[in-house]
Amino acid sequence: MNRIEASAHCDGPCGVYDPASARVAAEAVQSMTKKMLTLAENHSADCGSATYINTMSRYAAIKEEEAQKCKKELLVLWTDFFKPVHLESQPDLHDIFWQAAKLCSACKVEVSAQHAQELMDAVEKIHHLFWSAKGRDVPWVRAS
Amino acid sequence: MEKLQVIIRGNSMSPSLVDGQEIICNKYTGQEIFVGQVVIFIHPFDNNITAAKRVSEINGNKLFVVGDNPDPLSSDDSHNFGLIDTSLVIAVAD
Repeated sequence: MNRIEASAHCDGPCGVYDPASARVAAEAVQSMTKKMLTLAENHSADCGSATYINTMSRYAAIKEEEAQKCKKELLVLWTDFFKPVHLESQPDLHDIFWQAAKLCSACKVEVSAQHAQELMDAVEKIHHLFWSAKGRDVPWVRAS
Repeated sequence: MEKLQVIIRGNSMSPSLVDGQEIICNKYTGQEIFVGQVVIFIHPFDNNITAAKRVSEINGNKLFVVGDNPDPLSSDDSHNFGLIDTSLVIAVAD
């Protein structure tokens, strides 16, 4: 008798999920946070100048935009890619994503180097969860 | 009728068929297909993928196939790729 395998997966045909999108956004959040802190520390005497205000505003706008983007990318992974079966091997999956999404919100409204680093750590954890679920060993790399 | 042993990969057919389960199917040679049967077919958008789904509607030689998993996001099926032609069917479960 011939023997074949039949896919009953959801992500096999499209295969478009990748936590890299969230990682790039989280890196941008961390970069903008660092720039804001550095600017405030080194140029506080110029804080009334148009140049300072413009630069700081741009950093803040990008930080907020990227934090929101990161949250969206994480939610797509959480709600579309991960399935109930993944909870069997990763029972705290929901909490991991919830905490990561909360960190996106924190980084959006704050200028916190600590929370920006915690967001990167959370995205790294999700990176490993994701590729483990797909049965692949993909190393964690940063663009910055 | 020629038989085919099919190993299910994935959980879109859970709970009726689970990952790793083996089922015996009849090779499809044009026999009548019924609503409720599980069919093994070539994915309409990727001929490298052989898929297993349940027939929920039949329209001529077109089949609407769906996964059994109640999670609406768990299955890539006719909700995503539309009706499949019976020419893509390679086997039908007993």
